[in-house]
Amino acid sequence: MSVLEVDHLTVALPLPDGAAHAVRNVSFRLERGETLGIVGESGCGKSMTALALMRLLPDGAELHGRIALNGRNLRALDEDAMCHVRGNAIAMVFQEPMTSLNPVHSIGKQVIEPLMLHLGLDRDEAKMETLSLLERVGLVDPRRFYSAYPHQLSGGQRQRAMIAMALSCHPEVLIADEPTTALDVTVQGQILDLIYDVVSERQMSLILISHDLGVIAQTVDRVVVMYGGTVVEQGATPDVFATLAHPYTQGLFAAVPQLGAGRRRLRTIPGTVPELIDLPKGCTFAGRCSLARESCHQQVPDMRTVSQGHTAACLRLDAALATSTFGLRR
Amino acid sequence: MSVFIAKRFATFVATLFGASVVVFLALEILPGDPAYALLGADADPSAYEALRRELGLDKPAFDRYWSWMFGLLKGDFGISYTYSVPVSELLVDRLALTIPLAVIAMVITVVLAIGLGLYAAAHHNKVGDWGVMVFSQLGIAVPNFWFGILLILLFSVYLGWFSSGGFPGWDAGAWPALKSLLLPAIALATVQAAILTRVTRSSVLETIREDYVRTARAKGLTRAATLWRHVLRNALIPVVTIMGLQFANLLAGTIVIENVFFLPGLGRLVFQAIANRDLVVVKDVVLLLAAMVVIVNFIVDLAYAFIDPRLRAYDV
Amino acid sequence: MSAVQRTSMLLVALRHRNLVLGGTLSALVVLLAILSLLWTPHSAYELDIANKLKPPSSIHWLGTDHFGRDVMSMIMVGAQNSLIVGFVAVGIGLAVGVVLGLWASAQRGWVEELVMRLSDFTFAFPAILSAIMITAILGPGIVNSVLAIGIFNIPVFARVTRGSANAIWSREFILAARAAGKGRIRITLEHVLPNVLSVIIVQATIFFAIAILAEAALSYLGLGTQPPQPSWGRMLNEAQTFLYLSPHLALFPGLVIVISVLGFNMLGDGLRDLLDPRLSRARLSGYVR
Repeated sequence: MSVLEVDHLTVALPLPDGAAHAVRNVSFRLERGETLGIVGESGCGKSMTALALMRLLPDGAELHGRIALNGRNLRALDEDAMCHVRGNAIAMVFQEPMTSLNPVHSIGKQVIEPLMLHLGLDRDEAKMETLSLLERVGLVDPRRFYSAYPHQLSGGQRQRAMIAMALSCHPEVLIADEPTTALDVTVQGQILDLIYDVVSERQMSLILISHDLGVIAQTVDRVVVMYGGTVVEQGATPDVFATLAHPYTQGLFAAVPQLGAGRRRLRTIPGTVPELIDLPKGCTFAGRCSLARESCHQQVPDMRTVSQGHTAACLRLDAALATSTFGLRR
Repeated sequence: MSVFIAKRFATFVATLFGASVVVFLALEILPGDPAYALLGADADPSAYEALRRELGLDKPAFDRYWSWMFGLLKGDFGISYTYSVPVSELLVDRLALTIPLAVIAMVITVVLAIGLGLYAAAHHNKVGDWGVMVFSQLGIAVPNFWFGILLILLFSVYLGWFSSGGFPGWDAGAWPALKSLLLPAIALATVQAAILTRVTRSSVLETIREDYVRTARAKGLTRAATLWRHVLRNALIPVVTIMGLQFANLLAGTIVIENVFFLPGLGRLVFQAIANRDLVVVKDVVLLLAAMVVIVNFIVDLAYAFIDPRLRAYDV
Repeated sequence: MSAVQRTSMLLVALRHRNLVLGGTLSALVVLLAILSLLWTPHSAYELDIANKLKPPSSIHWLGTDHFGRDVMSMIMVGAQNSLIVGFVAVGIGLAVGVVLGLWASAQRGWVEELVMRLSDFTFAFPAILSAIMITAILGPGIVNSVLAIGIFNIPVFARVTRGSANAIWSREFILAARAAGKGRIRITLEHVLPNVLSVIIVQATIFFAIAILAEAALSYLGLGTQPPQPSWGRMLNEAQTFLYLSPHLALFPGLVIVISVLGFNMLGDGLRDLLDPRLSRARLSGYVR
């Protein structure tokens, strides 16, 4: 039994002009101790997927599909029961450490909250635990950070505090939504290393969301590529990155500027991401795909096997595999 | 932190000082001679001179200003032209009504506004929210004195529960005195509450959308716990600021409301004094009113620093 | 008009309820005032003691006051009063306040400081108090009360204008204009003013409503419009004496004040929603992140 099973997850958001399907038919598995990366550009639905897992969608959003944590159907839980799961069995680290911490409460006060809530510790016990947590995440001299306020910390320090908060109740699953995007380049590596250390140390499962291919390529066991709210390709990282199956994945790769590649024009994927309200019939990527045929515009592609454990949603998979669509050297 | 307080205090003193100058100057250009007002038009010219000398009106403005200020600091507020009693006595009498009135009105305002504002935010885009917004739109449009009259109509004329005005004085007992202040306080409070409700509602709605609220929920806090521990304190920051500003409006409102309900308070006093050209009283009361506003704003500023730790570290 | 056109007009109206409702109410009051110039059911001035304190009837739609004057007519003529006060007071605020605000924003430095300190300062003085003092100093009457109300409009207009103008000055096209050698006055008139206009219009509408309330309060206290000119505020004062006998006298003038103020407030809100597209976009961005 996988730690997390997600089947046909769909999220619809009610907007004044119509319903936006932010997430459509997303399925994946997360095994114990595994790290899963979700990659895709802004607006592809990766954050929405994460929020859906936590059932933290905005009011009025519709959620369909199955989410199971260790076999337990999370959608069947009432709000109170779900509150027991959040921060406890599944924890999340967000992108913006600047605004994700409450400015009027001290760091310590915010870290002890889940400890007292889920583990029933009293204030002193929670404080002890928090101090060791803060130390563990690299905030040396934890006492000082305990009584400090968020505005007194740097971006990297705040993110470490967020990680401490997420780890406090020993969750089974940690979701990190673009944890380093808002940080300085120099700090990014440190934070990623920290996340990796604690995850492997505690044998947690990790879902790492990022738009940065480099981060994903280096760090996760398996990767899920999303576009326009759907999964276009998934598989073990080495497999996916060696055999770029889906045309979108190929384009994504080709678009990464190569250092030392000379003054060549940046490769881009022609066209733009479709509006989520105005999704085209058929394959979402068809409008920008050079391999698209009539059937691509009519039929939503199903997931087809590329190799063991590696799937891609493309009707023209064979053609995609055969031709290096964007001139990529493989 | 202490730098912050010191700076605020300095501003406070400066404002009071400035207010006193403005009040003094404003009344300097007041046409009409107090001596005439007191003696009438037919008195002997020398009587006017004598009275003017007695009242110190023959001295240059600068001297008069300073003797006034020094007098205030000593506690000597001068003697009223019209009532011939020390202004300080008058003030104490009147304040004994106006301050409780203002306090009760402020309490009603705050309770009403925060309660309704929270309710509206919690029922955003549903009937409850809409109802509160309608109430607040109406509340802003209703003149407070008309509302007072309507209250008298309902509770005094029809129901007979309250008298239609007047103040029995604290000697008659705490309850009768408070009772006579209740309708006026409600009339005062309603308009302010309408405004404050909107501010509270929008502040709460904005705060709920902040990232740290999402973090709190992600940690497993229930909606209620999040509201209480994370939303409220942050949402109240702008509300508290507005409350301070509103106090000035509240005091202004007492001037009118005290007239509606025939309450012998500070507002009524200043109104009558202006009409009677009783300069001594006018100067002192106007300055007092300005001082009260400034003091309240000062307290609000301090409270602000208390609530929001971001202000403590720097001298803002 | 086809059914489809009617439906879409209805939808537009619903979305802009504030604007539509506010506009309607305001227009109603304005029409009432204009109408009263030509016709009122009875004279608003003629005394008719024999018919005093009569309740609403088919002859006197809203009843008569303690002098036998027709309440409906008085209310209609009173509308003239309130609207004039509103226009002139807001006009004063605009003329002086906006100019000050634009100047402060263009000059910056000590001018800005001065204007801001002065306007901060006036916040310490309750507006009604200032108005009372001014009318008492200068004497009661409509002219003086307009002046008083107008004067306490000025700081708010100055602030709002300055705030908006500051935002415009920092925009790039201003920089371009300055680089091209355009003087501050020209830039202010050609570029800054048109852009802050929408904010000013909204503020003016809301102040109009406040002016009506202020005039009513001053008249209630006897400092505003003097008899025999009808004034809603003074009508309420007179009505209070007869509360036990003729409660209807206290009802109607108050109601029309509420309608006017409500109308102009909602109009201002509606205009703000219309002219400020940022608001509607903000609602959208909360979702798609």
